[in-house]
Amino acid sequence: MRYLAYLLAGFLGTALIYVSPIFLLFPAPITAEYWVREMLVMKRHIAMELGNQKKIVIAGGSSVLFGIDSNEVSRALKLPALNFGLMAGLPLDTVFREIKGVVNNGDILVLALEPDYYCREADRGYDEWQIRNAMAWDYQYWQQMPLLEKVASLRFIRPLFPIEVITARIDLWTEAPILKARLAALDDDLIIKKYTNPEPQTNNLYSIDNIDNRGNLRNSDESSYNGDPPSKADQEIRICDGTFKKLGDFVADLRSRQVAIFFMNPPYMQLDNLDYAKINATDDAFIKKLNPLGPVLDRKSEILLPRNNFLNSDMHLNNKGRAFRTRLLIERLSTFPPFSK
Amino acid sequence: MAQLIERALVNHLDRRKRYFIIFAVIINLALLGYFKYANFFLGSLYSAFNMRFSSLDIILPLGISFFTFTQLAFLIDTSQGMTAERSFSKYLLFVTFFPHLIAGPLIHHKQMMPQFADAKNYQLNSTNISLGLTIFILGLAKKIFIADYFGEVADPVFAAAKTGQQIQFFEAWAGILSYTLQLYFDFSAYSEMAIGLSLLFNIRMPLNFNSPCKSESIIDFWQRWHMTLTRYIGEYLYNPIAMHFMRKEFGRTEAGQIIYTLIFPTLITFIIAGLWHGANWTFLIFGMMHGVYLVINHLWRKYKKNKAWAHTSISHKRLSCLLTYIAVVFAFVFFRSDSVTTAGTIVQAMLGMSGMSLPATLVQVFPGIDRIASALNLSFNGIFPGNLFKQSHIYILLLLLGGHTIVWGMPNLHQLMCRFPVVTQDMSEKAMNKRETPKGLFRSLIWNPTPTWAVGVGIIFFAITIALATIKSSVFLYYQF
Repeated sequence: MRYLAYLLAGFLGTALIYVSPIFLLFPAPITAEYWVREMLVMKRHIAMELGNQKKIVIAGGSSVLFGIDSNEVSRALKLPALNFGLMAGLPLDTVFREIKGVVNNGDILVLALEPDYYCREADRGYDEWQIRNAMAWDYQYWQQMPLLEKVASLRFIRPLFPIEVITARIDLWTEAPILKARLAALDDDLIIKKYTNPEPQTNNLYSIDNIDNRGNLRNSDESSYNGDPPSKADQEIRICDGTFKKLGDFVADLRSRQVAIFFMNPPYMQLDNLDYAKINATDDAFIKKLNPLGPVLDRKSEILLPRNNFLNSDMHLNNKGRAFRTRLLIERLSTFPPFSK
Repeated sequence: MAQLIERALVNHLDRRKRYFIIFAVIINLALLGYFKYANFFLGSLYSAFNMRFSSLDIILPLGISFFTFTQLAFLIDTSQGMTAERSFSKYLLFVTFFPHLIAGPLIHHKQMMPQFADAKNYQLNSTNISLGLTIFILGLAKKIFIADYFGEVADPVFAAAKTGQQIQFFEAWAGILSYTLQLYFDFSAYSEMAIGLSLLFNIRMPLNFNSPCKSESIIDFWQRWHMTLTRYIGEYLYNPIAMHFMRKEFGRTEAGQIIYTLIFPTLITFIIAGLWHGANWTFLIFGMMHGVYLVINHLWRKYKKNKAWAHTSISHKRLSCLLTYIAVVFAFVFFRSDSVTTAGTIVQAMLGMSGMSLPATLVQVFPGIDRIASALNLSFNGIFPGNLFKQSHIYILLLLLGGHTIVWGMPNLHQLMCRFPVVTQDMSEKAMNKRETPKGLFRSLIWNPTPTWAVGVGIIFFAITIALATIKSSVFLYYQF
């Protein structure tokens, strides 16, 4: 028995040594998606600039960032509109937290979440991308995670992650030049300065220099996507229990603040051999499930677009696709109060 | 088939028992035949007659080869009065005892039934748990941290050969040597995990793997590689076949004796053993190659005995070991390949018939060598001229060097555990008599239930946990048998 006790001690001791840098050296400027933070800060700032006036917030992942023109929505519906499309990899809690931060009482919120968002962290756990971002800049998210969940989430990281944390902290102490851009992305004042004085021309699509003052992506004329996406439109959108509960709580909270909430589909690509009966059936199921939380503005079959409407992935629309999707949003929103006559 | 079984096994039984045994043996063989060989036979039949063939949608039950052979041995021994187990629950436990089901060892009722019957084995035993857990963890570490890395080098070579891509001499050797080491570590890892798991339940498994790469002959190889299969086919295939020929007095002359009591039984036994590994012509050739190797080995021994030669020098032993290893490596080409064509491509390349590329620097060191070399189908584009490997040349060479150092230079886990009976005594004694316990520096590695060992194993266990949580998948090569 003594042998087994030592074996267990060896196991637990190593585990402790392994995870300790992650907990003791938090936060650490490790490799992560810092531009998402910059975009977040910038969009928060835009929302703040709009002050207390009533507005339309269209929120979701990058399918909203690429696929909605909030200027067009503003013009048509005579209300300021904010494209609050972020990144579909962000945890749902982060997305909800940020939306709550920018939505005022009486605003209109259109939630156009990617299908994957309906079955997220509460049901399927995390991925390394999320843990990385939480460690690198989404401190609030990491701090709010219960300890056990934090420990459990470590199974999604690669084996040398703790070493990376240690190295990043050493780089920080030694002021290594490699961290310059990362640290700049952690400074809100610098980001806002960058937003108010954007670089005139940027080739980098994923940069806040490429986002306008209503949160829309600027340069998206091309149609370079030639991948072979899975047939998503006729697949059921799985709404998991844990995520649905979170969504319900979020909606209830906003409703208590008189926020009108609508749901919307992301775009889908027209592919050969799509089963249209299945598309409608899965759509009906989705609408039925979400109806208690808010109306769904479109159907999947209405947002099935040809390949030349997509920019660089099967979720990112180009200008052409964006114009179509925005028109559809305006048309549907205008049938609801306060826009309907 | 029924008549064959009747003549071979159950002639002495009364009619009712005889039918029962025949029925049971046929059912076992039929299930194995259907699940494992139906597609192979239908495919071969149809291709012989140039007909279109769509394969049957069959999912191979896990461990079918192992539990079928286990049951057949039990049936045969029961029919000959060599076992008298009457408890159905013990029998079920024996057949379904899970640690061995995926990749062996082939368990025998004589080794297992007494252990299942021993009441002491139903109590927790901390020594066995300590031993079992240690062996299991070290086996799993061998699989995760060693075996899988060789697969990354072997797979692209066989995949390229499959698609008809030209492979050169060193690439082919890197591929097959990596595969040999992958299979070695994979199989030994699984055998150790099975022994470890079983020990947690106070059950000792037979030893199945005893440093086969150190074999000095093919006969020796089969006494170290898949030892339980060797024992099984010896007892239930080779001996009955040889006895049959002896009874028929086929071999009256010396040559006749060699043909009927050595060549025929050995070839038949190993062709069946080859096919037992899988339903493919490649496995049949693998078995046949080993059958031929064994015949040559036996004849050579006989010849040496007649001439009273005794080669006991270290250099002779090392040469024998190397020759055995090369023979085994060539047979493994067929074991790994998906088709005879793929294997042919690899063998050709191993023999230098598809060209050989040497380091480019040689041309600078020996100017003019390229003119002579072209006549010998040599080129100077580096030892791995294609883009087969994602790893660097140095990495591959060091990996192979490291792997061979372990298999040839280090004691195996069974030797490290020599102070404790971790496997069934019959196999253990045989193996320990053959190999001495570790010497020199390795003596300090002999396992004892000390805190140092325990903490060390705990650390390895944690490393495995992290690796398992992050790697995508890792399969055992032997699971399909």
